[in-house]
Amino acid sequence: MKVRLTLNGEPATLTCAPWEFLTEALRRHGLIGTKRGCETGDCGACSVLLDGEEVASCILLAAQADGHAVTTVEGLGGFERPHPIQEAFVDATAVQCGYCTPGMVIATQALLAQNPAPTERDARECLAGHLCRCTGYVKPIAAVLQAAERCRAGDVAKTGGRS
Amino acid sequence: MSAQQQGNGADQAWDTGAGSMGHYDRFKVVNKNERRVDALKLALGKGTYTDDITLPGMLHVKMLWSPHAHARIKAIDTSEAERVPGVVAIYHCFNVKPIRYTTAGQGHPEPSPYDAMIFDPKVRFVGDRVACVAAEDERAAAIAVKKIKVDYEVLPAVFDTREAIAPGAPVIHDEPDCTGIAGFDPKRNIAAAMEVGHGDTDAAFAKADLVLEHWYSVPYQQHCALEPHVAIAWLDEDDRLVLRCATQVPFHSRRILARILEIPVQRIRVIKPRIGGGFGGKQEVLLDDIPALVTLRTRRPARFCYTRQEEFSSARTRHPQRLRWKTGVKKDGTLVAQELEVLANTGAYGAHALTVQGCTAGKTLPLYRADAYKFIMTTAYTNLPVGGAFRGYGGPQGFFAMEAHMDEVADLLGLDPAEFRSKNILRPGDENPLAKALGEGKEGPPQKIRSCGVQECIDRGAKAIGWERRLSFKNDGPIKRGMGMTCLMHGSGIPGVDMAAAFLKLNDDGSFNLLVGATDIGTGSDTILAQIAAEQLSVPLSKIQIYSSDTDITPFDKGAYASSTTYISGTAVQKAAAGVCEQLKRAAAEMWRHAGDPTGCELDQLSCEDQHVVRPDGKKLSYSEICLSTFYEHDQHQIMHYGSHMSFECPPPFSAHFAEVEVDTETGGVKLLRYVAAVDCGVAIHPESCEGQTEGGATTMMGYALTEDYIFDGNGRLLNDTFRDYKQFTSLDVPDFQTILVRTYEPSGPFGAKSVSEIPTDGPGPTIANAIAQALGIRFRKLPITPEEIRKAWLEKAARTSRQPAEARV
Amino acid sequence: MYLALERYSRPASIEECLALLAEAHDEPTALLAGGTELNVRGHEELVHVIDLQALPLRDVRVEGDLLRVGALVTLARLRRDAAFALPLLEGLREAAAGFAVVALQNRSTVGGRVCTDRGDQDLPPVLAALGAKLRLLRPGRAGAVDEQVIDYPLGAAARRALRGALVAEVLLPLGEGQGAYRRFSRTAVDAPLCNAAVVRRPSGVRIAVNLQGPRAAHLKRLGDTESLIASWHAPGAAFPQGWREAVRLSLMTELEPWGDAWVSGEYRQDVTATLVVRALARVLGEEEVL
Repeated sequence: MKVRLTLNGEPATLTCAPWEFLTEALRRHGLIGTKRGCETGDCGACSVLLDGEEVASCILLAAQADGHAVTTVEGLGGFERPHPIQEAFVDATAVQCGYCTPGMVIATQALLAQNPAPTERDARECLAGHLCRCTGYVKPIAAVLQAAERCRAGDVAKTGGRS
Repeated sequence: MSAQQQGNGADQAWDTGAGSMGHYDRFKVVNKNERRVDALKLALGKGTYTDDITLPGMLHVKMLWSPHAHARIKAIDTSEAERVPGVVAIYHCFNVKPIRYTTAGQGHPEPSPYDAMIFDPKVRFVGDRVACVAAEDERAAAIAVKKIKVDYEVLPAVFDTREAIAPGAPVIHDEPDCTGIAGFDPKRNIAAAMEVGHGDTDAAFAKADLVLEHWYSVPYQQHCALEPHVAIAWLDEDDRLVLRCATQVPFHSRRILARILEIPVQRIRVIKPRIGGGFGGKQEVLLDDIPALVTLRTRRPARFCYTRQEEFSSARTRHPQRLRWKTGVKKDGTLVAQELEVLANTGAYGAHALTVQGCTAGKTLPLYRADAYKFIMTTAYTNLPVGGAFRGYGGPQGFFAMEAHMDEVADLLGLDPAEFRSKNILRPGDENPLAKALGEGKEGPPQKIRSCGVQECIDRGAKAIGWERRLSFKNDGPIKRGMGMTCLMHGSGIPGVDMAAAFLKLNDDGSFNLLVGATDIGTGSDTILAQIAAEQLSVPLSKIQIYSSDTDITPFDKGAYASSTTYISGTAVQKAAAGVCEQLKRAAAEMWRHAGDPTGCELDQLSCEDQHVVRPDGKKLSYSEICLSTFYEHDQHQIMHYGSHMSFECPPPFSAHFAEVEVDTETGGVKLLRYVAAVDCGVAIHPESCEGQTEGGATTMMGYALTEDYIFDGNGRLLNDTFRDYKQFTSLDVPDFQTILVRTYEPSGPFGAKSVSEIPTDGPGPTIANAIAQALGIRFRKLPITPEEIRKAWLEKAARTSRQPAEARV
Repeated sequence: MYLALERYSRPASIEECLALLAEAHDEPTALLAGGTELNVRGHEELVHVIDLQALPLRDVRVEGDLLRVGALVTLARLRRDAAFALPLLEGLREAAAGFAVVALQNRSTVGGRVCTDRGDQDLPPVLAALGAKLRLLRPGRAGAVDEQVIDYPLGAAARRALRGALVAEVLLPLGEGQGAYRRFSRTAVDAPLCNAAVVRRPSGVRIAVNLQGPRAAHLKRLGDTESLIASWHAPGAAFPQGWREAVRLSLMTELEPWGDAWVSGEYRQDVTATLVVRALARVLGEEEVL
């Protein structure tokens, strides 16, 4: 079946089987930044934005995304223009093995779009669905807060995430 | 520090490092929080992990796992499975050659029993391999797996270690061809056993004023690396087997695969791409053989990736243990004797069975001085999931028992736990009394402590958490507060065993390619090794292009384990860089001589500074100029050098952990309020990464202390095999966390560094247990300390107190 | 995990949806709301999913003394939407935030929580304590829609009413009052091991708990304890001194010890009683932990 959606700001058509979840469809489309960690929606590695809201793409049928806007980590920034959230994760040394990082970056984008001045508690809630065995969350929490500061300073949270 | 001054300690007088603190001021790249070399691509989602490629014609593999804890496979009928569209091949014990080996990814010869096979006609735990299906897509393979019919002869199973080693227990490894070392006795279900000591424990206990003895127990734990085990195999244009694998040990994997697949090492290339966490789980040749086998048989690329459920039931775990700790102590708090007995559960296979349990004693006992030590160990086979390497490698088990026990001793003597530890803790210059007895499957080299900042860890940690506050907690309501602390030590590599190598070459823009066998699995080793090279070469970090771990391209490295990368691989890098500096100076001198300007060109007059070779008169040549000249103009050659390093020394990092908790006696819930980890890891090459290692390692073990465990049904089937049911700590659970890096300088390490990766895992179990003990006045000797156990113990205590006159509130 | 799924439908209207449901005799079919449990065990054999996303089931509106909540309203909306910012619905908001994963709260729906067979849910006890009703739609004869309003189903027998039906709305009786929800779990992101919901209205106090583990549902209203509380006083008056001990005593007889591989029945009973007491203290405006 064909799934038509807006993918990272551009119209796209994904050819999928009815049983296929969005993670697989995206990865097959070359968007490997969306990771597979549990396939039950419990680890956060596969998070993407669906119409601006964070969702677990491993438990969302690709077909469910038909007609919606999906943003993956690749949609936020690239080497030539990293998103301030991505820069904040790097500068806070919040990236260790990096497998959880795209999901955390997506979660941060969703948070900051709603709440540009999060508290530490907000940052913790934002990352609660993102398991990480490397960092102990201390530096990712700091990265979320740092990202908020940078986005406020540059007011780019709105423009950075095309969705 | 120049290359000449840089020895590895062998030719220096014993130096505790105390006089070397001035180095800190001279560092330009190391000990700085540089941007990690790989972080940006990972934050952008561009990092390519093993599974991020797809090859044309790639087959997908799924495994049929044993539903029985113990059974013999009498027959396998694959006819129906073969008819599933897309199925290409099915392999099992009746069509794959039986060769015994160990999945433990250790050096040669592996000190683990050879008790496994690619496919075995006997299954030994729920989740053991039975047969694999290779198909055109993963779904077809999964459907076919369900259609394989297996005729099992179900055998009695044993799940408890004490029952397993008792006479009459079912024998798990009754095959005649399994082999092992150090007490291996498969007829009694013993995978490894040893008894070692130092001094006369009988005499020492006799001298003691107080002898205390208790049993402790620790549970299963899963690594939960977010990236599951995955490997992709294919044949390259030279018909060689290429394996792209999420591994911590590419060189061991190549060696072991060559043996079990019966092809020469030369015909195999193992590539380690980006790895999504390992924690020891990937120090195992766990699934590498399966896609390799499929590719060799079908000549097509093949991929095998574990699901999360398979990670829980069929990958490796932390060995559960029962531990008996016995201490003899004088009235004034002087320890005189320590005895540790361990009964460990290695599950169905003996991967790391000897060495993990050896470290349970080796990392713990020497931390406190005593006249005599004894260690008795038995590791039992059971029909449960398999133990293996897991960050901490026996340390967390041992430290839970020891550091809980030390608090109990201090309590009985009425001493402050911190003061009691300070009184007995080892000091610089001390010999490790058990180093010789507890080598890696053989006699170990002697160890003497040089850098040691443990007292400073205690002092600064106590100050940071406000240790004295523990005396004024009111605790008159149902919510009780408590504080606990522990002291820790670990190691830096396996002395006399671990070897690493690095290769470095200069490019014409003054940049360098650094090729290392060291395996960055998310630890940051690519960054810190590049920092070490940059510091030695006197260039900015951006000038180093590092490539790690590809058996065709990079030199050998033992792999990412045993807290060895910074200390062993880092020194190899430093040696390679020092050699390149020498060559740069020679080449520069030759350029000056050739230009008729030979003044001040003796090697000992030249120095490498800020990307230039500099003469005493200030004249200088840039690395780029030198490279261009040596490439194209004069004295043509490639400036390049290598370094190999092996160390007979294993300097321990030290640490003190502190926790403050709140216990709700009405529910048994524990809230971690504050955690402080003070660490002496020598010079922190990348301080924030050292903090990250500490925070991450400790957080993993907060789960070990409170929430993580394997829950089995009566038939050995794991019930909590998802992230929803197996509970690790999340961002909402971690307490306010402070890491303190205590400054020391390890004379035998690269730029004064020791290890940092494993030591944080040793702390949270006992630290939290000690804090709960202070809060409730109840000692828990079993992990995890669950709310139910706390509530039960509290009610029992209240019942005991209420039988006495004083009232107790429930 | 790989689903057997062969067919995905997205009906544009209730009628179309019910027609699809009516013809679903031969193949295993499920209605799909947020889909947060689709890839979790138990759905391997599904052949057809009917995605409800295009149906007009997202409204939240007050009608008389009822708050009508469309089945597709997400937990995230329960937490944030001004319509739920009433003291009476405090427990509902807390329960919606209970499983602290943003991505799941964004997808998980009220209707899905009502229909799930998993026992370890936050929302059901709150809905039961609020006296919620469910509006169910079924395919009727000749393309007609059969409508039915039922009390929130307690127990397996009552839950049979949900079979073959589309849960269209959850109806919450409004009015003065204070609600509270308390849960106990191993980590912050965990299904509750025990939970308790309390709603205090001028007419009296209602209490519901899930005496469940992860594998079996056992939602229960605590009628005896509610009656005990009712016997003490005129509605709205203060509770007597020592009410905590009395409530606890009553609960220990009323709650069965329901154990599983996770915790023993005695422990679940004990902590559930504590959570009820704390939730009651909350609705009374008293200190929860003395």
